Parts: sequence; C-alpha cells; structure tokens
Amino acid sequence: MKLLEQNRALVTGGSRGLGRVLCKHLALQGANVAFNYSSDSDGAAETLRMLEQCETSALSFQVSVTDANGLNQMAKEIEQAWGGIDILINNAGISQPLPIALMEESDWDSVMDINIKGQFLTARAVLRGMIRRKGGCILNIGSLAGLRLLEAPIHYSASKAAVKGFTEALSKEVARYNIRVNCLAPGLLEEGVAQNLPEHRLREYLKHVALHRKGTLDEVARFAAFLVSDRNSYMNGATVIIDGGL
Amino acid sequence: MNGKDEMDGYQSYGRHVNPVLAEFLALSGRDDRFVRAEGCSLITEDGDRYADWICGFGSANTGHNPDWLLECIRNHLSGNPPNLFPESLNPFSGQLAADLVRAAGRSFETCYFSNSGSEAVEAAIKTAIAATGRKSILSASGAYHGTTLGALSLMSDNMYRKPFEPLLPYHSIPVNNVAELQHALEKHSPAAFILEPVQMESGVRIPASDYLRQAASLCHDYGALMILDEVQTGMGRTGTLFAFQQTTTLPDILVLGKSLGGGLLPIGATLFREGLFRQAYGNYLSCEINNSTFGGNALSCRVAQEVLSRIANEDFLREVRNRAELLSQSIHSKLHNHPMVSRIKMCGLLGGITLHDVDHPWFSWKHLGLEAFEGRPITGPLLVHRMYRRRFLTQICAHDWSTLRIEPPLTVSETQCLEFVDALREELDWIHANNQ
Repeated sequence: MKLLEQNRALVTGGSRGLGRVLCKHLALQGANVAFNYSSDSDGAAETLRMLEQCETSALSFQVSVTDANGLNQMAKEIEQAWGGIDILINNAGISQPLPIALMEESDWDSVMDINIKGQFLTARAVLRGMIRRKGGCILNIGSLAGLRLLEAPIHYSASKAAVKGFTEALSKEVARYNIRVNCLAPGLLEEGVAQNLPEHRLREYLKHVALHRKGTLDEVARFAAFLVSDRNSYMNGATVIIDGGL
Repeated sequence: MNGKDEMDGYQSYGRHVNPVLAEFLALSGRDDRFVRAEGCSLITEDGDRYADWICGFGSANTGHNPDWLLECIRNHLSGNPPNLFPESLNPFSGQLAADLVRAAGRSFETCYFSNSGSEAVEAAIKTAIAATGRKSILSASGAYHGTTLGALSLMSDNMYRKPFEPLLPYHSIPVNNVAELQHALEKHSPAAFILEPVQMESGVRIPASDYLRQAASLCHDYGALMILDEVQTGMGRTGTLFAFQQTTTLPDILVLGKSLGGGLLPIGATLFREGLFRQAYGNYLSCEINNSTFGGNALSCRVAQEVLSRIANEDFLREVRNRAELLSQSIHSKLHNHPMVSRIKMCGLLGGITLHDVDHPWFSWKHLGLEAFEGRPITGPLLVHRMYRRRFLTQICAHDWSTLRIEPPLTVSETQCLEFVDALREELDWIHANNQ
C-alpha cells in the first residue's frame, strides 16, 4: 500500500519549483492532488501532465493565495469533486533579493501577503472541511532563513519566521479535531532562493553544510510526503529542518 | 526544472553563455524573460511591458521589429537570392555603398562592409595604416570604439584594456584641446586621429562646435587621416543622418554600425574618402587583404538600405529633431534644479544626466552586496535599478557610471518621453529623500 493512498491533497503554488515536485511525490504515494497557481498557466499544464502520468486524479486552479474568496471557492470545488481535503501543503512563496535600503513598503507587503497571509487564508479555507470531518494534516513550508541567522532578504526571513509561529499556534488550536499542523524548513535547495545568492556566498554557505551540497527538490518533497502521512501521526506543531546538516 | 538537460534557453544562458552576468541579473532583480519586442517596448513572458531607453545601445533607432522592415526581409528572402558573393560582384553591397556614399557626401567614394561597429573601426585603423604607411593611431581620452583588439587599443579606460595589454601603439589626447592635438600630430606622426562626435560612454562629452573642423584641418596639415566613429551618433541619432553633417567637417573615414542594421541584422560600414581605398589596397594582390566572409552579405545590406532610406528621409529627421527638442525641454525643466543632478547634456536623442553621488552608508556597494564595484559611482546604477522596477530599461555610460544615458528609439512618442522624465524625477526624489 502506498503511503498516501485514498488521501486527497492540496498543494499551493504547484506550477513550478518545489510545489510541482511536492505534487509529484504526493501523487506517487497514491494521493489525489489538487494545486493552485497564480499566473504560470504553462507551468500548471506541465504539472498536470506530470500528475496524469501518476495515475491519480488531479485538479488545478488559477487562484492567488492572496484571494480569500477564490481560495474558498477552490476548497469548495475540491470538496465537491473528491468529498474532502485530507492534506494541505502551504508551499506558495516568493522572495526578492533586495537589501533594506532598496526595499519598498509594497515589496514587504507582497512577500508577507504571499508567504504568510497566504498560508493563513488557504488554511482557513481548507480547515472548515477538515474540522467538520475531524481529521487532516497541514504542512507549512518554512525556511531555514526564518530560523537561523542567514544572509537572506529581511521580508523573506521575517515571513518564514512567522510561518513557524503560525504553525505552532494553529497546531494547538486544531489538535482537538485530530488535525496535525507542522512546518518543514529547508535549507538552500537547487532551486529557489539559492539562485539569488552570489556564487562566493553560496560556496561559503556550503562549507558549513555537513553534506557540502544544496538539497534537491525531490529530497524535500519525498520527506514532505512522509510528514503528511499517517505514519507520522504523532508529530504536531513541529518545525522540522532539512538542510544537510548546518 | 530539475535536470540539467531540461534547462530552457534563459537558464542555459546562465550556464553556457555568461554565468556571471546571469548571476548578477538575478541578484539585482533584472532577470526578466523578454519574449517580444515592438516599437519602443520589450515584453516579458508574463506580459509586462518595459519601455526601452537603452535601445540596444543605439542599435534599434527605428524601433524594435518595425513592420516595414520585417516586410522588406520577407520580400528579400522570398526571392531566394544568393546571400554571399565570394569572389564575385555583389549587387547588394554595391547598392548600399552607393546609397551611403550619396548620403554621407560627395567626398566619399568607397565603402567596406563588416559585421559590427567594432569591425568597422578595425577596418578604419587598418586602412589608415595601409594608406599612410604610419604605425600608430591617435585617439581621444574617454573614447569607446569597441572591444576587438584594435578598437580596444584606442580605449583609455583600464577596466576594458588592462587584461589584454599590450595592444596596438596609440596615443591619447584630451578632446577640445587643439594645441594638444597639434603637438601630438607633430610628435607622433600617427596614421590617423579617431574621434566620436559625441563621447557617449565617458558621460556624453560633446566637443566644442568648431573642434571637429579644426581637428580635421590639422590632421590634413600633418598627413594624418581623420576618422569619425559614428557608430552611435550616426543613423539619425543626433537629428541629422550623421552628426558630422551639423558641422563643416569632412572626415577621411566614416565608421558606421549599430542601427544601420535596423536592430535586426549585424552590419558595420567603413566609408573612405575619394582615392583612399586605392591608396591602401591599390593592386590585385592587396585589394582583398582586409576582408570579411559575411561582410556585405545580401540580407544585411538589403536591410541596411531600407533603414537608410527611412532615416535619411527629411520628414523622419525633422520628427527626430522635434522629439529631441521636447525631450530636452522636459528634462531641463523638470531636472536641472534637482539636488541629485549635476549636469544634463543632450544632442538630438542622445544624451546623459550626470548625477551627484549618494553618501549614505546604506547605499554603499558593500551594503548592497556588490563589493566588486567599490570605488565607482553608485547613484547611476541605483537610478537604473529604480527605473527598472518601474519598467523602464535604462543604463549608465560605460566609462562614467555617474551618468544615466538617454538613448530611446528615434520613434519614441511624446507621451513616452514625458512619462520617462516624470519617472526619472520621482525616482531621483526617492534617492534624494533616502540619502538624507
């Protein structure tokens, strides 16, 4: 039996990067996978094509994680299609390589809106059903940049630090409904914020990583699939770091 | 994308073309993926439209992908003509040369075609040396003639030339100093003196109105050739077809490139005054010692001919002058008193705004994570960054980072000019406020 057979999962930001690979690994473990994306229709189509090969059901929605009404509608449609959502992975996130001197209020707001408020809005949309059914699992994607003193844009680090607090408080609040909430905080990966790091700083970072390399999206997504499975039934409110040993 | 084999062209650029530039663009948030170009705009894959005020450093004077030029290319290719004419008469280069000579003035006679402005400069240098039998070239300090080894020899900026020295023998003199020029001509007996009518890359230095004529006259007195590099100032950029036509100067060699190819085809052209070609390459053995396989290819020449006929049209040039006047007035009225602005220079639709440098530590290169630029002016690049965020593509001058270059397509509209100046004003206000 596969790890996530008969599970229905929603991944935010599934049209590219880690989101797409998360979709893949959930599907490989037998879950039906729905995902949303904000603008990358070609990327979304690519993810859908990939999911079709996994022989599970797949749904995609073009809706931003900052659009509360759109998220509610999406959750409703998934529930109508599949009867519920068992797993939510709050993955959608952005960053900009900006020092504070060049950071606009609007930059701060957009990163906060997508990276943390988006997790709240999506969780709220999905939790209604989970609470009614008294069961579910939420995994919020954080970052090492929100936990350690790393060279990262301040709005990104702040938003990811907020993800940890959000995870802990929410886990406490919804545990009574048999819903687990955890946070997965990767270090630098082959894609994502690592691409905004100058080569010499990346080398310096990797010197301190015990495995001396960046993580792959597959490594993170494989682990995420385990975290949201029933085999991980006692972990709740935790922030788990996956960084190759820093 | 995961595997290295799955990289798209943009990612492959970062791996296989210029990894350092790709990294810098990502770091500075300027790694947008442009997929379309039309008129004065570049458009990203997300549909964001950027106003192009770099214009391929003056290579797209007639705008991006104008319909009439695309039509010309389609028509030309539909006839399946030969593109290369090795060891045979080339009617396309012949026609273009005739048009260029007619447009540049009756003192010119022949034209050599290559694939870029740099190559056209090389041809000018070689021809001057071959024609005069002299070995060195005189150039102006602050010049930018290209980055091939010969052209690079004429560049005084260390960043560009230092790693490649030793280069050709050259001597550099300051612009606008007739006495220095005379002294250098006397002392070094150079084959030629090469000069840009506007030194764009050193912060838009425009020689005094009579300097070009005096320089040409002195060169003739001392047996040196006068080369004018109009790669950037030519093709209507300054309001006349060629900048020298605003003076009474008659250069011996005229160098063209960039917009001659309409922003679509690479082409360089070197025009020689009457008799000069035979003087340099006047026998059967030497008539092809300076050559280029693709120089004068039919497609590039046909495109250049079409572009030339458009730009040389007096109505077109009048419109350029009108637009330049409007832009200049707008820039002066809105910026000349700005506390961040130290100097404004305009010559047609070519110009620059020189800026005072910021001094707040949080605007230091170090704080911005770009220690490699330490010691260079920062306000110019900062303004480029700010303008980019507002979807204006701008750039600083290569030798003078304190100067923001002004170089839109010549087809820029009045509205686009006014929007640009308003954006500049607001961003300079922002920099000033944040430098307190």
